[in-house]
Amino acid sequence: MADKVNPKPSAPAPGATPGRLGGLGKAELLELLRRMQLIRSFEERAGQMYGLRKIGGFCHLYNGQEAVGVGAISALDLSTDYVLTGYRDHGHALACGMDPKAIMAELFGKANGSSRGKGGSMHLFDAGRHFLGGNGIVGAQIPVATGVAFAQAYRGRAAGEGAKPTGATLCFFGDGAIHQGAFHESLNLARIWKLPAVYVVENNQWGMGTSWKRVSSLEEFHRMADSYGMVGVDVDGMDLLAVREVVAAARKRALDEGIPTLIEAETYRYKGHSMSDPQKYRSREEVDEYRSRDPIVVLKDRMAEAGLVAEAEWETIVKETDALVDESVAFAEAGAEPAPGALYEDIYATELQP
Amino acid sequence: MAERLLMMALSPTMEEGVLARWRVAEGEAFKTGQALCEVETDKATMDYEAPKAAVLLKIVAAVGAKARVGESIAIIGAAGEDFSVLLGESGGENAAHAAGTASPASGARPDSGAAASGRPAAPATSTPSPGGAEARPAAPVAATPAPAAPSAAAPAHPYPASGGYVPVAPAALPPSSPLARARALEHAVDLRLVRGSGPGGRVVERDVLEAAKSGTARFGAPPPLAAAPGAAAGSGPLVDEERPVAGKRAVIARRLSESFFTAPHFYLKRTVDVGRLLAARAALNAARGEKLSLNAYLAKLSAVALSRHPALNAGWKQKPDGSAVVEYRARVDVALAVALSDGLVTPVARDCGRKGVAAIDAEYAALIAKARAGSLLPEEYSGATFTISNLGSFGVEEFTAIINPPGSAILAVGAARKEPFVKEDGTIGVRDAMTLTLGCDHRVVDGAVGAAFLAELAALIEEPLSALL
Amino acid sequence: MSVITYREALNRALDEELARDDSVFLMGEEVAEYDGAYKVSKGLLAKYGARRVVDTPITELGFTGLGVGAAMVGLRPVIEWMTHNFALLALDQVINEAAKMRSMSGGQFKVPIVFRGPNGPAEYLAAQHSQALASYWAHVPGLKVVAPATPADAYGLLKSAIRDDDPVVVLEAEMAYSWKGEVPDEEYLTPIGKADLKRSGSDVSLITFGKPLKMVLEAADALAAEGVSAEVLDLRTVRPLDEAAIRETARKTGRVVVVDESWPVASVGSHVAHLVARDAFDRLDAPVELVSGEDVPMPYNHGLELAAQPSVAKIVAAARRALYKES
Repeated sequence: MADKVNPKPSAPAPGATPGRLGGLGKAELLELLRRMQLIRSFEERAGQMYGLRKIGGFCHLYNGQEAVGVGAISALDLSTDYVLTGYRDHGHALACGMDPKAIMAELFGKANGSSRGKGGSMHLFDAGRHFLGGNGIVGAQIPVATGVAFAQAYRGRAAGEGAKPTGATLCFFGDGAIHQGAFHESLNLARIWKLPAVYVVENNQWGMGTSWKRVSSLEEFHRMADSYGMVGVDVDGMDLLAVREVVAAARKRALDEGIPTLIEAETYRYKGHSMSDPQKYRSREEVDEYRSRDPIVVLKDRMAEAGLVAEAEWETIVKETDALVDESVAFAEAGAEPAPGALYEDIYATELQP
Repeated sequence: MAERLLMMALSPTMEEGVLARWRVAEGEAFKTGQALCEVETDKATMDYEAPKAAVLLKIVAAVGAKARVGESIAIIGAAGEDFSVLLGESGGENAAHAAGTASPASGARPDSGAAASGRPAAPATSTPSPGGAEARPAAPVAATPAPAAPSAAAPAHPYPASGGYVPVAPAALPPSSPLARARALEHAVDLRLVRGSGPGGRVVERDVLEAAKSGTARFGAPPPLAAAPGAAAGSGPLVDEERPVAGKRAVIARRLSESFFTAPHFYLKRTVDVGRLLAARAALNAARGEKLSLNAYLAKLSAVALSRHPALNAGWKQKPDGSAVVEYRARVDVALAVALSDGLVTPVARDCGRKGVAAIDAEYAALIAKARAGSLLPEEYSGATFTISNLGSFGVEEFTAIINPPGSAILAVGAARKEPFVKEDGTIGVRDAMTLTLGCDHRVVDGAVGAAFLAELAALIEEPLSALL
Repeated sequence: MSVITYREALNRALDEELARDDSVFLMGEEVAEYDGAYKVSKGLLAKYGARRVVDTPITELGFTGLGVGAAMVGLRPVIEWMTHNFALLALDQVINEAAKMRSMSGGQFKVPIVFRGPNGPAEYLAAQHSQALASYWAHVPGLKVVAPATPADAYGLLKSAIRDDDPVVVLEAEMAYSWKGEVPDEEYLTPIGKADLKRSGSDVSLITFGKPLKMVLEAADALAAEGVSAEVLDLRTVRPLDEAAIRETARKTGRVVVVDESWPVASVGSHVAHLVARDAFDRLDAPVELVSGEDVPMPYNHGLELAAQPSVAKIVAAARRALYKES
């Protein structure tokens, strides 16, 4: 049985092309690095803002899991593809390109937030960027994502039964969600109808305070794909390039062959489940061990080794992302509280005449 | 750049924490996520994790110091940085708070004002917690009977599918549906006089409409002195039954016994011609378009007579020390004996000497309505110096009444009837006759005094215009 | 005008809407190859193919949620629940996802989905297959809920539901599928949110929705034989309720009997009774009567089963109570 502290070693860097890593050039790699660092900086600040009571209720932070969100979403074409996730959604939202200002304002509950203050941390959405949320109920996003993939297949097949879907849908969920009935029903449906779905279970090893091992009859989640006749892949979730590669392959498989994929990304969250989690269930040593495999540091070091990033460039990234986060806090502070009338807005699309 | 490290809310309910232990020393570098110090909160002692990698430049909250959420506990930055600017501002606040002002309980709402690099925010003043100390005063609850159990056929179940409601109404008034009341107003029907056909005697729409059609129960008709609608005491079949003496019955029994057995009563009788009075009354009623009761006229004329014979506007009064006085009154208050279904009551029209008949009539009507509703107050049925009792509507020709304390006289009025009489010239005529019997308390009123008053009253009744003199 | 069954009316509506808009599709258990568990979707697979008429495994939570996702990106799913009893498995997706998506996203998404199927008891089906669940849906802001009781209303309301941009739950009835009624031959839409006065009267108002309409009309006939003029208001839509129509009939007659086959506690009927009390208080001659299902799980025995539901006799008795007629 694999030691929980030493999961699979990361995939070796494919392709020894100089000046490129994982098939990407310097500019692209810097962008990916920047995205991860933006998420990290944002999440740290969100944690602080929560501690200062600017944010209330639930706040689930993504620190440590950035490589999964950024790596996976970078393999998509968001003009045709869609992304759905659960309540630990700040990272995915930023990875889809959502404006940190709109997100922070939403966390503060302000009218200039992405959901006009009506959603909060768990309900970030961006229709234009094809980010369909954020969902508060564990696993509920899985059937919904399957439905989005259904629509893509449905639209594509207007041209004929074998025609390609119009895009793919990426659905993230955690090790806590994978045992929900909704997961199993969805995978079955995706397979029988050949839906262009890519399911990514981010196994950060802890469902709130419960180790995934305690509650799983099968510890290697990716093997659940066998029950549904689809492809199962596991990947080191701390290695962005590995994640990206695996998701790109799954996307292609979905579009070309109509076979959905279940990807198990082994990762780790540095923060508690949410803000009120005293984290008695794990040791500081365990957390520190994973900090030594910080995905941002991992990518940065590999890029540095390949001469693709200089320390000054890295510091610029840090400075710029910190500035963006500062800006987002100022934007959120300056935002107005929603007007009382907002209570009854956006309940129905078609108002009926009394 | 050096910055302040702020106390964070390490639990949802934490307001302030106590610095239990510093795990890093001044001048020491630390990594992101490293535990910098331990903070004692309301719940437990928690680790405070470093938000970024830096150097601990200065400890602001020493071990044992308290810091509220948002207050500075340390200064961090790059090694050797000048942070004096930050130091001056934060020292004062912590000192103030070391004095330990307690913060009011508040929910976890974001407060306004603290930018990340600005001054620490003062905790928001909060509204008292919802579970606050003041209990809401209990609203007064009208006593209502519990709903009757559903009929035997229906299953005994907390939520029977239908039925089970029992109407509720104030005592002495029949219950009525809102629609019945609306209809009563529309048709000028006196709801108090309508018999209800609904459950519990509820007056419903059809009852009101029937009454309107048949013309009974018109609003504004003078209330009969006869027993009010509903079961009159003693009506119904003959039964062998003992009923306890209570309430009104007991009061009447006590007071009238006391009056009758204490005051030496004597009676003076006169039969008067009420022809002129009745004619005048009829003419006035027609002119005004409303009917003023005969009793109101009698009360007014009695008041005039009393003003001319003040000896009768008085009463025997036994003082607490055992001595007795006769209390004379300047104001004439005339009580009217009224029979209700549950007993006699004597509403008092005040200051009849200075009121017209219409005002007296209106006052009696209002008081009688209150009496019917069971809401007549003691000050409204006591303290009269003179009482009128009229059993004419029952056809009684004459009777003797019992004095109603604290007065010393009572006028018993019989029915007005046509009867023959001997005129001055010896011929027989027919007049409208009415017999008055004046009961007097001999402790206060002697025979001649009473007789003189009665003569005055008789003259006023026979020629009402003489009241103007 | 033609006389067709409720089932045929639904079929016609589905057929027309599938033809009209490619984004409309029908999904559910047995809807395609079986022609529908109750034959409501008869012939549609043959006409529109497996892409538009989709058979599902028995996975209510899965395909209900799938419908929500598809609706979020522009399709117009018609999700059939074989009965509303099974919809309980999918409650989370209807209440937490479909109803709230628009509000939680600050108006970024609409969910133009229809959930339909038979609701309420049929015969001999016992506790788990006989539930009348109108209030489960009517309770939730973000949903619209309709309950057609005639073939004409079934056709018009289903079409409106499919064209409405919000999630609409349709309460049909197995026992109603064979009812016949007049339906105009030309295309029409029945507005959501508008009740229909099925019979005008002056002495007492009988307010109902869904399958009980038939027995309410029979009760009105029985009352007419006694000289009582009963007015029958068919709510047709249960969320939003047509409060103006409820108010108008209550104020007109002053006596109201609400008939709702669901359990009595926190039902649509009990809310309608509250609206009557609130809006017609001064014109009421009698307390509002509520005739509902008995507050018990449905028994199998047929005699008990009938006793557990509203009936013509119970409605007439309630009306007579409101009229203070001796029984």
